[in-house]
Amino acid sequence: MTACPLRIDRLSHAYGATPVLHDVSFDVQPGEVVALLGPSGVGKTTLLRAIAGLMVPDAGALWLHGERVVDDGRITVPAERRRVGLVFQDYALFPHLDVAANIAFGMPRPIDAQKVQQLLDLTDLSGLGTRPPHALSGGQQQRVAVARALAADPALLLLDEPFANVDPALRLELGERLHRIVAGSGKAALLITHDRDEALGLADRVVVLTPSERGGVVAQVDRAETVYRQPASGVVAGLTGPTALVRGRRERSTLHTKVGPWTLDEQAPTTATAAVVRPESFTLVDGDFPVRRVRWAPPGWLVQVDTPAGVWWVATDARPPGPTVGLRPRGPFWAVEAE
Amino acid sequence: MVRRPPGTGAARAGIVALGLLVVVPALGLLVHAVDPPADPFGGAPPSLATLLMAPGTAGLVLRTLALAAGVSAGSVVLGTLLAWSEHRLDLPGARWLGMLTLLPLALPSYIVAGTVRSAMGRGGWLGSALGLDGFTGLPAAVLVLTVATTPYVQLVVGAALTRIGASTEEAARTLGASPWRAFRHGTLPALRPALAYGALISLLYAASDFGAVAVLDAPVLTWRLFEAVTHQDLARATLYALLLLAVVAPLYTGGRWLRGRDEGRGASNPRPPDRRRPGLLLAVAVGLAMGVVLGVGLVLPVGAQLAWVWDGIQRNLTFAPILEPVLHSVGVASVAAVLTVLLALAPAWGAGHERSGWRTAGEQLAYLPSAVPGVLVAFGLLLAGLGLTRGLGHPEHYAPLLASGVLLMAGLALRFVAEAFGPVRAAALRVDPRLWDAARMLGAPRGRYLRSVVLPGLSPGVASAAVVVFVAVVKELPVTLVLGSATGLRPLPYRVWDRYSEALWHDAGLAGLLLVAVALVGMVLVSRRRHT
Repeated sequence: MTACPLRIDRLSHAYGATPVLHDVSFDVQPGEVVALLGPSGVGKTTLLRAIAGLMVPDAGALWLHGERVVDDGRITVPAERRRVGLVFQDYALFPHLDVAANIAFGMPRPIDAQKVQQLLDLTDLSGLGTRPPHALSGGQQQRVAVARALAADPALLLLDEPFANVDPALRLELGERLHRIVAGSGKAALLITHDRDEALGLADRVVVLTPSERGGVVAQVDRAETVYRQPASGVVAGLTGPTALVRGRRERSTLHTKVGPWTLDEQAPTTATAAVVRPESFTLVDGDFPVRRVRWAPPGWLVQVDTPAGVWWVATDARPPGPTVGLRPRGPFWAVEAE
Repeated sequence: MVRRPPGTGAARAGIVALGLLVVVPALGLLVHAVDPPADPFGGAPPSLATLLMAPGTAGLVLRTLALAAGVSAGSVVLGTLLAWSEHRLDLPGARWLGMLTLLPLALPSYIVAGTVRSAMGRGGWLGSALGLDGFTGLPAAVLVLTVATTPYVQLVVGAALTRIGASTEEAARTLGASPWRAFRHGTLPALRPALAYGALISLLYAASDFGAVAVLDAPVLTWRLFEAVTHQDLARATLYALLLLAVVAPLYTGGRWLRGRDEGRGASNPRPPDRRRPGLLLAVAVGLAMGVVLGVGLVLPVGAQLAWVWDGIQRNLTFAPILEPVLHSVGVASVAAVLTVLLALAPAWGAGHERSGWRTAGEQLAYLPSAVPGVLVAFGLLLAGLGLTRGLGHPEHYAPLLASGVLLMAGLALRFVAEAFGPVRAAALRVDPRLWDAARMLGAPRGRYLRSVVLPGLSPGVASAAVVVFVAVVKELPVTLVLGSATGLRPLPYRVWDRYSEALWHDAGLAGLLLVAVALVGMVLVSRRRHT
């Protein structure tokens, strides 16, 4: 049985008196792409650096490919021997080496030129091997950084905010390309991001880190669809998409709200009394709720509706005909505990 | 017609005046080289070509280059080690020691040279312990000038290290690179321009130095130039001056080019790397570097001056003779500071308020004289004075001209106009040109604008510049010796020089101590102003 590429157990860290991470635990399975999603400052970069061996966490344990590399404030395997491929946010390419030399940097000597060429082909960089990094576009530089990390044959690939420096127009294309490369390599990957679309669109599973008084904590670990449709808390719901939390009085699987009784998902926790409202939660019908704003959001529209329970954005195919609308739930609502 | 802001005309006139003053020593040298006067006995002076081919000339140039190369290599190694320990290593007290190792910058090189020669000479306490019969010439000059230039390299490399982020070196580590390989590929490529720039300024400093090489009797161009001047062998002095110019000019040009490359490097807001504990070898190397720089550059000179003063007290010597040099130093430095700041005002104002042509001309003219060795500037002015009086048909006016101190003040102003330019320029840049537009819209006359806006804006920079130049002039030696002797003025550096020439080290103790005190206090004052 293939060893688990990454396992973290109760990892905590503080910078002086400022807690950064608290009791973080999760794993990454072979061949899996996991996204680590959280707001800026929640400790994602600290966690990534701890996995890479570039800093020592105060407490907790860390295994890479079945080998314990960190044990309660002590590094047992240094960064140079961890077989972790790290793709930096700013790519960190060696400016004095050409593309091929950058890729080959971590490969054992003598360099296998065929493998370098395979990586160039895999990352759509064929013919660019002799170019210096500064002569490449941002997307090309990113792919060089990925190829370089893969060339060292890592057990795990770490990607730090891979699209932070990329134009929004290119993100979708680069995201698809990156996913294809990683999936094609068969490596497990951990993707660090604060962008929910990246996390939900590229990952098999998502680890959601949320801030707390004790530092960043793991709020939910689940498949991307589950994290979106069944968030563990209002904070997770907010991180994974536009959200409104509507409170009400719970009566078995019905939530009585100011706009009427709503049916709740059977799997929602029994103590949950706040329904998670997303733009796609309703269809528009005739009604008396005033329309505040209408915005073109291709291929449809977003309509801001003023209801007694709050002001919500609702996604619709057609522009509302009049100044008022009614809202019909599309299905049962997921609910979380009111905070 | 658009009215120019007030001060424009005066600023441009000032830049032209600075330009003319910069040209004067060069003209003096050129005219003398082309048309040298006959010697006092009516004979034709030897031609430059003859002197160039004379035995010993080539050796003199080679020794100058060897001195510069040795100093540059030593200071790059020591300076890089110290910068690395200050910015990248987790060593107890490293940051505090890193600031201490910059202090030798302030001390005059001739003071350090005097204490090294005394300590390591015959009968000296260190010489006796090491079994040396004397320590002078090129090896001693290499040691002293390496210690003097190491802080420059430490500053330049340190600044580069703060701009170089951690990610490329960390990337190398995650790819399995050893610490040395990670440094070589991760940090060294970005550090190269700073290392090259540091090496070049050390070369320039060493080739231009006069005080240390003179005290240590190192047979190099600056010292031989001065000897030729004092022996009134103007033909030989002219040749040495031209050779010295040929050595320093490419170094200055290269340094300006490299500075532009170095300043442009680095990411904005790079994440600094974590400090790491050094291995045993690196820790020992850093310790040795600190020991050499602090020991030779600070502890030895300061300790020696104190010891000599204490010895004087023990022997009940009177210190009254120090009053005259102190008064002369204060007088000369005060006048020179005022003149130099006035000279720097025009190009400094132009830096923030003129079109690019005038601005560039002002900056280049302000920095150019600082690249020329002080003894060369002084000699050029000497020749200019000689040529002027000859040209006007009154050679008998040359001696009074020299005695008047006009050439001395011109020499000091040229030497230090670059030092004054920096702070005044910084202040001028903070006077927003749009304030003149605002003042005009409010109907304010030019005089009120100058009094109420420009002067208050410039005054902090002017005050800083005056302090910097005052301290620099108090310590200055070559211009003082060449152009000041005839004036009868005997400031502190002259007294130290005079005593060192006779190997009367102890007698120079109080003068040396006062110079060291002025130097260190001046450095603290200037760095405090920079931080406020």
